[in-house]
Amino acid sequence: MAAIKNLQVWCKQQCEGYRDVSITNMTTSFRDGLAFCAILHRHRPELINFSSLSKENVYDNNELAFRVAEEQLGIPALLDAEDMVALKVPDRLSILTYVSQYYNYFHGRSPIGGMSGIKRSTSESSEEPPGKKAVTPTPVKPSPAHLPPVVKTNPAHLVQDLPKENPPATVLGDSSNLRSSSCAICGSHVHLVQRHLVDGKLYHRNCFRCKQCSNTLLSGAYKAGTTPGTYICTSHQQPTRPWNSGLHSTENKPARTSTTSGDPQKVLMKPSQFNKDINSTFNLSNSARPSGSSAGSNFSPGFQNLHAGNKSDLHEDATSPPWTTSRIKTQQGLGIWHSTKWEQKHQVNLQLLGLVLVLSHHNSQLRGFLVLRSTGTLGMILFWVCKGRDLNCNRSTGWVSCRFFSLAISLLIGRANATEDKAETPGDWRTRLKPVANSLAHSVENYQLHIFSVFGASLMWPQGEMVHSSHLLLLFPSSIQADGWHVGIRQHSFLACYFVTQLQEDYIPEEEIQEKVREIEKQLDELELKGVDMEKHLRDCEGDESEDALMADWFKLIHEKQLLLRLESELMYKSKQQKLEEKQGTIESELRHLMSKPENQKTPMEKKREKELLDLYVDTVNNRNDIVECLDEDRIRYGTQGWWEEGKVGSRLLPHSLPNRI
Amino acid sequence: MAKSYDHLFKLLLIGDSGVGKTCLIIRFAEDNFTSTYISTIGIDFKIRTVEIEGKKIKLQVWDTAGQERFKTITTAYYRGAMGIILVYDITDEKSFENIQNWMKSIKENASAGVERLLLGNKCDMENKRKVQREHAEKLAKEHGIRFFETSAKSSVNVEEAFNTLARDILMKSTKKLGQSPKGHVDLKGSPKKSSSKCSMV
Repeated sequence: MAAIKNLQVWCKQQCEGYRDVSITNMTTSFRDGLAFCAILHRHRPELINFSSLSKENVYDNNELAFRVAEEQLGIPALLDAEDMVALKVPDRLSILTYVSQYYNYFHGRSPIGGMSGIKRSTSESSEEPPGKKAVTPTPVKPSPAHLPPVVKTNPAHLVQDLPKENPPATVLGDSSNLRSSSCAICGSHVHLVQRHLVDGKLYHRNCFRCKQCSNTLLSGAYKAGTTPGTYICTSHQQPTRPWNSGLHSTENKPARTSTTSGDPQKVLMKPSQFNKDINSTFNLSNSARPSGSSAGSNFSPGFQNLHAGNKSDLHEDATSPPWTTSRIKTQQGLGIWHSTKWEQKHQVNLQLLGLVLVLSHHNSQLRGFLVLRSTGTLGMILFWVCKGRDLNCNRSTGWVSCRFFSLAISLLIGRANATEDKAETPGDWRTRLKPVANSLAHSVENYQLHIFSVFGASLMWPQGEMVHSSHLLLLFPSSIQADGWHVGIRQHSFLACYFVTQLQEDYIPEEEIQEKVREIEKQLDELELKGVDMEKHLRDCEGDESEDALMADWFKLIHEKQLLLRLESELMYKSKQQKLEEKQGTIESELRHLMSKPENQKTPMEKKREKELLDLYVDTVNNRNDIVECLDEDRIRYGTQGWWEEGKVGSRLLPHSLPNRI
Repeated sequence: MAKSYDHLFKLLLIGDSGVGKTCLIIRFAEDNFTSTYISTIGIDFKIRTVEIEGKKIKLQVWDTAGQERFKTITTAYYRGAMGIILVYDITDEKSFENIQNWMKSIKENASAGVERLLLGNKCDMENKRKVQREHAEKLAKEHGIRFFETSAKSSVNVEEAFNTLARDILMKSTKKLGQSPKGHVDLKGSPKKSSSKCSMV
């Protein structure tokens, strides 16, 4: 009789010395909620003011214990305070299960020796028949107001703390000891292992879905929806933010799109999304620069045109001759690119190479468009390319070099043009922009190539990394700044730093996170299935000899489920953190663009926008900080004792899971 | 995984614009350096976990904009910091003189017991030095704080500076814990470690 008895003995020990608490069974002894409060208070006295509690307030005591345990210790509330009021004899299995979670949490740090203390004392305290202790069935008048809902900033619990409805006092006569056991969504019975209590409502964990995308809501990643009682994923944006559709489209990208190689249709999809991004960026640059303002207006039409040219390049064989060589090559490269499958680390390497290409392009411009220098750089690049190729490519060597060469060539042409450019005054340069169609105007061509190179480089960003490309796209408006290249260049290198940063940190692609989450979900489903079955057996054999062994397995299963949920929420944090970092980068580049303009030249609209962006920027940093603090709260909540690591589940998943630096 | 670290310390860098706060942070958090100057917008942070005396310390290093225009934003972050690093540029006399003002700002905005540290950055540019080491040492002594000359560019003393500050905060917090009376009404239960972390945050 180890498992159950031990648990009871443990509870008894925990509650020793507490007024009005005596554990004689695993049902009615817990009904008034004082026992839960006592266990919590013994370990975390700062969380509960035990002396203020009275055994008459069944609802309040239970509500307090369940809430504190869930919010402060991360122990999910399997029980409902209303049930405790309504049932004379609470469901034994539910109590056992719930208390086992306390045990899992506290054992090992128990002030009285925890586990070891329990194992020795198996003799005393025979289980008394339930209900012996006179339970005063006072229809408890709940006073939710007197327990002010804790204000939480924790994104893990974005669910609002709505005040609980008053528990119905009428159900007292109910003889069943499982009262509220049907799902608020599907209406069918919720087994113990599936219980998911949110704001006093019971759900199947699996029924608890996002109002918007109908995916199962993940712990730590949902918030209250627009209509009460509904919830949505935190990843869903609130209705359109006009300021950056580029960002928007990235964020709303369905989590599971696989923009993977091989499929020609998908290959096509990518450039089109790309164009959409370009489009939004361009519109943005146009709107940010009203037609009256100095040089900007001169550039816009030309740029639109370039944009169009660029588009046609992608979709059909356009007829604009001047750029044909580089275009075709780039295009070839691109098409082929998608048909080759790459390993993660190759991707990273290539991303870095792409950066080098883009950077060297600009750096040499910065240094006065020196041909010599740039050819030198190109030589370097080619060396790098070869080196990278030899090191990293196995199957697709040929294609890759083809790609790099096309890039290199476009850079080379760009360089040549740029060299001629330098002789011209900015004024000349601008007037040349007028005839656009297929003009050979150096600056235009230069821009075109500029786009090519950036575009090419960004397409090197492998599948599922359009996010990065959208960052790169933000370069465009900045490089057409009237006051010259320098601002643009500064931004380029800034963004480059940003990318390098991102690559260096333990960036996990969103797809990979989703993959892991799916894996966990699968395991959870399996566990629940097993749990449903187990619960049936447990209820059948109550008091039986076989009960105990089964119960031990049951506790293990519940524990395992907890571990999985925790792992899942940590992944969600990671995903959220990454999205915020990306968002910050995007806001920052637009903000820098605005800020770089002399104060006296800004229109009121730009000033307003700048202020908005700055607020948004600070908000984003603060949100990132919130996650850091949430993770820290979790660390405190779950403790550093490593109960997490000791779980089988944990270790099984760990090698592939999160890095330490979050 | 959950136990990826034992403590979370929040550090904050302040100092005049252009002294190299961001570079110091990038050097520390990513071991990287770029000589292009990009002024920080308002506020940002980076994270690195270090190990000190067998404890994993997650350092959240806040970067502030030195420019006056962001002052209102940045000062709001002083309060949460457990350690504040004051940075000046050894080639820029003015940035050193302004340390006094930054000190004042700490007094006005930060928590009372915050650990401080003085850094003279860009010590790789010895030939352009304007601020003598001794002056800074004297200043640090007056305020009873530690001082390092660093170079984010050549990676001199950066690691040391951050680690020293983290260690000081760690010492302080464990000391404080030791002294704290067992104020629990509880029987004999002092919650093992959990309270220590609370006091930290």
